[in-house]
Order: sequence, then structure tokens, then C-alpha cells
Amino acid sequence: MNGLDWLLRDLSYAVRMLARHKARTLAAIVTLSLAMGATGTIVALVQAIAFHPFPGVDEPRKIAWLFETVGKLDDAADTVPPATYLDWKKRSQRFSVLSAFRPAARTLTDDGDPERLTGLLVSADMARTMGLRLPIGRAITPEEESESAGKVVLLGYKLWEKRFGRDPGVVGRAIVLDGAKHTVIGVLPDRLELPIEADFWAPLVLGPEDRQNRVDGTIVALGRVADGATLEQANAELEGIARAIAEEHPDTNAKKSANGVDVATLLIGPARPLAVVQAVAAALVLLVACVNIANLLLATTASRRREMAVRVALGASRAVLVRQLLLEALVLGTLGGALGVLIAAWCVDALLASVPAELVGRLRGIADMRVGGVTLAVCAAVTLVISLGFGALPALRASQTSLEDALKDGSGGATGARGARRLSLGLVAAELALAVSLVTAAAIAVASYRDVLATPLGFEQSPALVVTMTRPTGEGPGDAFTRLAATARAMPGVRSVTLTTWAPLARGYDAVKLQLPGQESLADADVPWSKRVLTDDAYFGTMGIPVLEGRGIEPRDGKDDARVLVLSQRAARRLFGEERALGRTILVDRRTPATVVGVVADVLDRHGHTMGNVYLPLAQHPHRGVTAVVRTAGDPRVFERPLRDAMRIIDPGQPLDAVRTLERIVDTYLWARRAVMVLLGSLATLALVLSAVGVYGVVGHGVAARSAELGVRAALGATPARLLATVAWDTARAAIPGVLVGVALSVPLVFALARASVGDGRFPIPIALGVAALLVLVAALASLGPARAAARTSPLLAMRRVS
Amino acid sequence: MARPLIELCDVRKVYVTDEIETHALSGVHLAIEKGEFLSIEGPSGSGKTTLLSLLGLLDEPTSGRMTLAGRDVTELPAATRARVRNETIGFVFQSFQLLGELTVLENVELPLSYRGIGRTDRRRRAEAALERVGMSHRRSHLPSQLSGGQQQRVAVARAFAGGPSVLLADEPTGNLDSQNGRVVMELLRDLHREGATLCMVTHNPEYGRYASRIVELADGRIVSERRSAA
Repeated sequence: MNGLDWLLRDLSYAVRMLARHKARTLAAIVTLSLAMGATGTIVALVQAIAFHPFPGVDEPRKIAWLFETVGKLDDAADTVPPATYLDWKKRSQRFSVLSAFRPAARTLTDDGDPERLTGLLVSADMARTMGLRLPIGRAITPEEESESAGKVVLLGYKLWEKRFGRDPGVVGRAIVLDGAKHTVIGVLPDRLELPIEADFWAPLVLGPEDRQNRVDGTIVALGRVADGATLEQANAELEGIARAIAEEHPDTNAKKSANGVDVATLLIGPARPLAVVQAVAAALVLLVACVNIANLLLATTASRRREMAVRVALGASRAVLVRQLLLEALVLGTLGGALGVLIAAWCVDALLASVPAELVGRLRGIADMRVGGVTLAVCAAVTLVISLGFGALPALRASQTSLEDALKDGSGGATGARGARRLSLGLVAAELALAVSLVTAAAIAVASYRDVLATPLGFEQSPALVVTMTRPTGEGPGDAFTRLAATARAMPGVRSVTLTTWAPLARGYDAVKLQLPGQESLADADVPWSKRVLTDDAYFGTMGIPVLEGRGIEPRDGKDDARVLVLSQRAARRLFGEERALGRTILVDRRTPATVVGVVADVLDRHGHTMGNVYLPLAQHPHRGVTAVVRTAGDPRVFERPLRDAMRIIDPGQPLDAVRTLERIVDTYLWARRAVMVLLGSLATLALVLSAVGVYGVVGHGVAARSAELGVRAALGATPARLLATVAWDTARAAIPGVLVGVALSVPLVFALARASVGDGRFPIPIALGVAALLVLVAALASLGPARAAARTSPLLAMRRVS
Repeated sequence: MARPLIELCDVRKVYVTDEIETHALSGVHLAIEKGEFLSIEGPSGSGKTTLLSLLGLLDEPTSGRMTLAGRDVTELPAATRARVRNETIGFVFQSFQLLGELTVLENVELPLSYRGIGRTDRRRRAEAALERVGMSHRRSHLPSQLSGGQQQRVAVARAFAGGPSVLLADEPTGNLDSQNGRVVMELLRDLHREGATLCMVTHNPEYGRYASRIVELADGRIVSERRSAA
């Protein structure tokens, strides 16, 4: 018989043995597949988020986002004054190349419908900073960074694909953006998402005024660390440069420094703690499953001790026994692992389907999440380790079976049985500990989500449609948007309409510096930022933001009227403390005085915070982009088509950028926290179920294995209640230490969750106590069935069995 | 005339497995007097162990009546049966049945703890019982550290520590060599001489001579009964 024949024979025997113990096999496969499903899902998630490759970019770890800092890096603004950037660029050696960009929107008017594009104005070195290889065409040249140069544009890959059918002949052709002809010079790489996803790149032109600006951050700076240098060295050099600039320009740059953060840390970093928490949670579930499987296999070994002894007596070598048991474990593992991968694929699809469309592009890499090679490799490796690891232990135990003991009818080997029971109870304690920590983490996520839901956002959440529009050119009042707002107001079912530059929970905002007259000598760095919101007179009423003092913006606050502003409560308190703000004068951006005419309630931003808002009349500060919030009496979605049609009539060249319901925006805001809660909750539920199954299995097996002992106890006068208590006490002896260890284990998880912005980092004693009580209850319920079986133990067993 | 300590009237025990009826005992009449040492003998399958199980309230008869110290114990709830068993019957099993994770002293204390006897009293009685069987010097050992004969002496101590009305012994020498078997039988005989009531199942006629009366079973019936010279 050759090796293959042996293998096939052993394999056939393994399958038959597993089929014979259907319940035990099924339990092991279900346990393993659920755990591998959870593992596969989290591996796919972690791989997609934490190890995102930034497609199209060469060595993304070398690319740093550069910040001008004052104090802590966390307080740094995203944008840098252009003059400061130019100084960095001129003096830095450790960064081989520096470049800058500024977001921009343009309307493409071509043969088809007008289309609103979001793109970037980039300096000529941007392609070199990113290390891009363009599929076709060339990058922007320094000569093209000029108003007098011919207008050129690089197309985003998706736009090239969608609008131009990936025609290579597009290079050299002219397209019309915002009414001006631009020559297409090339196409950006597919799936390029750095510095941010864009439909196009056009040259960034810095005029004379920009080149003198050391105060207002208007561009974002990036740098590529030079070959042979590290980011730390480059940062040290940048700090030195910033110190030199501060000495040269103390009025504007005193106290300012500079720092670079690599893009992976910056963009993926915030998601990393969450990925770590989820990975740890999945690992805990896997461990719980492993404990269950170990217990199952231990029980199997005990029950097959006699069979193994017979096989040895008939001439099987120890090696053959070990090989046979390992093969059975491998078959079990393969079935469980394969099912687990299917479950993971289903979970990944479900997770992807739950991501709001608005977030897919922003959650880096999430769209690429799939059960691919890495997930399969991890699942296969974990399955192999579990199979061999947990198959080896029973195999070795079985191979050491004493023939004499095992062949004696019913001989239990009291000492060995006691050791096995202690091991099983220890494993139960371990899995309860793991489950406690996981359920505590999930409970914190639920509590955190509940807190978010309970915290008022600061605006009315009744039905509304949020329509974003960006004008191609700076038109005055009475323009297309004002006319669209007037048209919308006349529509039946529309309660009110407002125009603003910032709808609640929107991404991005204008920041301004507010200070009191007499504080002009304060260094720029000492004046805090506030969020600038331009609104019309209908804003506070439409948004349902309460006016606490004075008044809101009114029609009398026109273009030529006195400059006024409204402060949010936080902004007012920051400027005036407990003093009254109404009637006071404030300098906006250190130059324009305006009078405070009202104070309104605070509104949360999309991070759940409020930095203090200042509301200015839209009429006094014309703006290229506005958002219309259309408050409706019924389903707001039915108004999308009429609004688009109305805009087409008002201005055929002006598309609506985005039309979303307020409900959808709030739902998107809540999604990340909900996803954390659902993922952790699912893993915790799984751990809880597996623990309950584990306790049931171990106690049940323990009762079966102890039937002789329980029979003796019954024969000596133990009542059924006493027998039940004996088993319950055994469970408690495992459960209580397990639960206590679990509470201790959950402490680091609490801190890890806080780093992922879930919970406040304080150990929630009531939650921990509640979870501990829950797990004790679960263990008690799981052991109830076996304990009742123990209570029914017949004392006759004492007469039939041998200890 | 005083009533017997234990009395069985027309007791039958039938086991049904897979629609097959096995008559383990058929119409057994038996009376055991207080202070008697009864030996139940017979070939394998004759019903000896079944009879001992009924006498020890480990099982219920299919029909017939049984009294213990004048009380009808034929049909009792499980908890009551356990209490009566604990208070009035002591068991010695063929394979000792000491609990492996308890020390010798704790094993002897076990039935006393089921009775709710306080720790001090329990310990005193257990130590006295161990002293009586000559095992007090091994009180802190685990059963696995004792020889078979020593384990059975501990089992005997456990059986009489609570002062039961009757001691039931199922093949008490079955797992022992002849020398240890003789030691255990002499111990049982001494207990009998001190006033204990004993009922022993054995298939070894040699040990029957320690009893005051021998009952022989065959096919679930008492086929002979004789007084011993002991």
C-alpha cells in the first residue's frame, strides 16, 4: 500500500468517524465556521483600511502632509499661507520636492449635459511629489503656473473613462471648464486618491498677493522625503526653517513652527485604532471558539480512549494513531474554515452595502474591501494552526493511552479524569473571561452610540432636502440660486427655504479669526479660529436653530447696510465670557468690524463637536458656492426632480452639485459609530453564544464523566438538590474567576476604544458589573440543563461503575 | 416479638430493555433482624446486587412491599429516599467508590455533611471511624495514595461513621487479594460483634462463614437459607 492509499484510507476513516459523531462534528464545524467568518470579515476590513496601498502613488510612506503649527500639532490648520510654503520649498533639502494644492470646482460644458466637477489646482511638482506615472500625456510644467500661460488640465481617470470612453486621443483636445477652454495634457492614474480624489488637476497659480500672504492659509502643502533621509530628519529641518522664518517675520510667524505627517498615518491613522479594536475583538472570538473546540476534542478523546486502546492492541503504532487524529482534525478544520470564508464573504458584502454612498470615497480603501488572497491565506493559516494545535493534544493523549487501563471496562482513571475536568473548567473560565471583555467593549460602543443619539445636534431634524450648488462665476444677488430658492418656496409642500454656505454636518468650512477691538497687537497664533457661516434671513427659522438673544440675520442686513453678525453661544462665551455680547463690535479676520446682533444655540459639526460659529449675512459676503436647505412638509425626495427641472430653466449651464435628504446626512454622520457598535455587538454576541455553548458542553460532558461519582454521592445520601448544587458550584468555581479576569482584561480594551473615539476612556463600572452579572447568568443558564441531569443521577450507578 | 429491621414481602423487580423483560427478582420474601449479619450468595445473574440495591433504597421494586425500621419505604420521593438512605444505611462497594479529589477524612465526612451535621461533630465522628478501622494515620491522604485494602477500610469507616441502622456491603472483597480480603471481613465481623446489622453480597462461600445467616439466590428467587456457625 503506497502513501496515497494510506492517505485515502485514513481520510475515509476520518470522514466516517466524524459522521458517526454527528452532533459533536456539527458543533465543531459551526463553532469554527462562525469564528472564521468573524476573523475573515475583520481581516478583510483591517486589510482594506489599515494597509491601504494608495494606488497609483509611489512609496506613499515618503509623502508627508505639511502643517504650520502653533503649539500642539492637533491644533494645526489644514492650510498653509502661500508665502510660508514658498519659503519651505526654497530652503528644504530633506524634502526632495514640495508641492501645494487647493480644491476647486468647475462646470464642464461639452457635448453632453453640463457636469459639476470637483478637482484640484496643483503646483507643477505635485505629480513628482506623488511619484505618479500617468497612463497617457504629461504632467503640468512650471511654465503653466501662470495666468498668462495657456489653460491646461489633467483629467481624472474616472472622468476620462466616463466622459471620453478612455480615448487616448483626448490629449491635445480642448474642453470647456467654467466657460473657458482648457487643453487636456494627460490623464491621472486609475483609482488615484491622493492628495484627494479629483475629476481634474489644473495648475495652481499663485499671484503677487498670494506670494506675500503669511497669515491666511489658502493652500495645502505636501512634501516627499528625500532618498536617504527620514521623515524625522525632514521634520527637524522643517522646524529649523520655521524658526528662521519666525525670526525674519515676527509679526506674522512668531510662535509658529512646522511639521509633516506621513499621509498613511494622517489619512488612515484615525481608522487604525478602530481596526485594532475590531481585530482584537475578532481574535477574542477566535480564542473563544478555540476553547470550545479544545473542549470538544478533549471530550472526544476521553470517549474514544477505549477505541484507541483496541487499535493499539491490534497493532496500530502510536504514529498511526496520531496521524489519524490529526487527519480528523484537519478535515474538521477544512470544513469549518471553508464555511467560515463563505460567511466572511457574505458579511463583507453586507458591510459594504451598509456604507452610505457618500462615505465610500472618503473611507479610504473601503470600496476595495473583499475576501481576497490575504483573507484566504490568513483563514487557511488560522485553520491549519487550530486543526494541528487542537488535533495534536488529543492525539498525543490518545497515543499515551495505557492499554491495561483503557481496556478495563469503564475504568476512568480517577486522577486523569480529575485533571481533564480541571482543564475543561479552566478553559470555561478562559472563554468567559474573553467573552466578558468583548461584551464590555460592545456595551461601551452601544452606550457611546446611545449618547450620540441623545446629544441634540442643535438643529431640527424634520424632513428637508439639502441642495449644494457652486457658481462658475461670482454673480451678485438675484442670481440663479436666489431665483431657485424663490421657485422652491412657491412649491406646494415646501415649508421654507434658506441659502447658506454651510449646512449642518457638512464637510469643510470657512474659518475666520474673531477678535475684539484693542486686541490687534495679539499675535495671529493667539487668536482662535471660528467657523464662518454665511446665511440669508431664513436660516435660523428653516434650520430650527433657536435664537437665544437679540435677533437672527434679517432682510435689513443687505449689501450696503451696516455690517452685522450673529454668534453661536460657544463663540460668544469664548469672546466675552459671561459678559453680554449684543451690541459689541468684533473684528472679523483682523480687519472688518461688525456688530453682534444676536446669539444662537450651538450646532454640532460632523465630528460631534462645536468650535463656535459666526453667522454673517450672505448678502454682505457674496460667495461662489451655496447650499439650499428646503424644509418640506412630506417626503423631501419628491422635490429633487422639480428642483433640477427648475434650475435647468433658470440657468441651463448651472447643474446642482449634490441633492441629499437631511435624514441621509444625519444617517451618514451616525454610520461610523453605528458600524462600530454593530461590528463589536455582533462579535460580542457571537462570543456570548459560543461561551454559552462551551459552558453547556463542558458541564454536560463533566456530568457525563462524573456520573459514577454523582452516583456514589447519591448512594451516600445526597439529595437531587444537593447534586444540582454540586454541579452548579463547579460551574461557579470556573465562572466567577473567569468573569473577574474578564473584567480586568476589558480595562485595556476600554482605553483602546477611547483611542478610536468610542467612549470617554473612563472604566465604566456599572457596565462592567452588568456584563459580569450577565455572563454569570449565561453560565448559570447554560449549566442548568446538565445540572438538572446531574440531579436525576441514579444512585444505582454506584453499584455498576468503578471509580 | 419485635418487628424485623428490614422486611421484604413478595418483592419483584423487572427490567425492561428493548421490549425484553428481565425478571431480576421474583417474589422475594426476606426479613433481616436487628444485629444480624446476613450473607446473600448465589451465582452471577442470580439477583444478588438487585436485592442489595432494593435493600439500600437505591432502587424501587416493581411490585411488593418493603419496610425499614417499621416504616414503609416502598415508594418514597427521591429526596426523602436520599435522606432515609443517608440516615439509616451505610454502603460498602466492591470498588470502594472513594471520591478521588477528597482526602480520606473528607470522604468519611461526606455522608455526615449531607445530613447537615456541623463541622466539629462531623470531624470528630469521622476521625473516630477512621481510628476504628486503623486508618487515622492516613486521614490527609488521597485515595490514590492508598492500597486497595486500605481504601476499602476507609470505605467501611465512611459506611458506619454516621451510625446507620444497617451496613450493606456489595462484594466488599471483590477487588482485594485474599489477605486484604480477610482483613476487611474481620473488620466487618468485629463491627457485627459490636452490634451492627450487616447485609453482605458475596459470591465467595468462604466469606459466608463470617455471617450469622446465609441466603442463597438463584434466578431471582431465594432457594435456600441457613444459619452459620459464626
